[in-house]
Order: sequence, then structure tokens, then C-alpha cells
Amino acid sequence: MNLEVHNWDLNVQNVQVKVVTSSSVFLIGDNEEITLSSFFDTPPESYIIGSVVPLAAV
Amino acid sequence: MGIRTSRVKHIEITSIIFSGMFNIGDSGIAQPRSKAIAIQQPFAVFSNKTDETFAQFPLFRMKPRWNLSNPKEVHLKTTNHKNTINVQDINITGISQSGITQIGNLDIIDSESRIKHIRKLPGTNR
Repeated sequence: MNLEVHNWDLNVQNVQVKVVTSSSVFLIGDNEEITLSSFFDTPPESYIIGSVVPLAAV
Repeated sequence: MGIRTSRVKHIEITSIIFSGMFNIGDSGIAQPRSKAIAIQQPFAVFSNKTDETFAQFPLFRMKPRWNLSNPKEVHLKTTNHKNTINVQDINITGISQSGITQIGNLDIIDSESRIKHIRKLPGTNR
């Protein structure tokens, strides 16, 4: 695949972004290669019920 | 890829944490990594023995499974007739966990973030 890019001026007036997080990209400009990966777990793996560290163990 | 000149009039960013990145101008390669264990529990335990380590959880060893069964060959040709980037006003509240904000060229981005959530709830194991 041939991709030909012709750039003239790149003007951005106003942008409001709340959060750029967990391997995300906010780019104003050119790029060639992007690889983004984000790992997280969902319940129930992330729940521990009962075996909570007792306070005395400080 | 051509070089471009970035001109930013006003930009407001409240916080950049956990290998977040903010850049004005061109860069070649960005490769942020971020690993975190987030523990939510109903009370504070101040003990110097950290029971959770990264090695304990397979989440931090997993490999991303990209299905590049038939990767296409891309021939990129860029011509910058004019190479200015003008930015008037940007407002970003937060950049976190391998987040990248760039005004300008960034050739190669390889970013990874891993978060292990643990919620410790009191109660009995039924």
C-alpha cells in the first residue's frame, strides 16, 4: 500500500481533553507507527472477601 | 518524516503522572511503560511488609496478542509544503499511565500500561 502525505499548515484552534491515560495518545502532527497496549483485570479476579489483613498486624 | 515547527499559544495541563509524557516539538521514538497495583480497602494498614508484588500476578507477564496474520507493507511518502503547526488553546486535566501528548511529529510510539486492581472487603467467605 502506498501512502502519500502532503502537509500544509496545521492549525488547531481549541481542544478540551479531560484525561489522556492508560497508553492513549493525543497527537497533533505526523506519525508512522503506533503500538498501544493496556492490561487490567476485572472482577471477580480483583475481589478478596474475608481474608483482610487484621489491624493488629501493623 | 519531515521536520515541523510547532507553535503553541496557550496550553494548560493540570497533572502529568505515572510515566505520562507531554512534548512540544518533534520526537523519534516514545516507549513509556507503566505498572501499578491499585489496592482499595476499607481501612488504612501502615505496615512496611508489602504483601503484593508484581511477580505474584500473571497480569504483569502477559504478552499482547496482536493478530498480524497478514501485515500489509505500507510505503509512506510525506512532503511538507509548509511545516508549521499552530495551536491556539489546549486544556488537558490529566496525563497518566503511559499517556502521551505531543504537539509535533512522533515517529514511533510503543506504549504499555498494566494495572492490577485489588479490592479487599471485610466479611466472611461464604
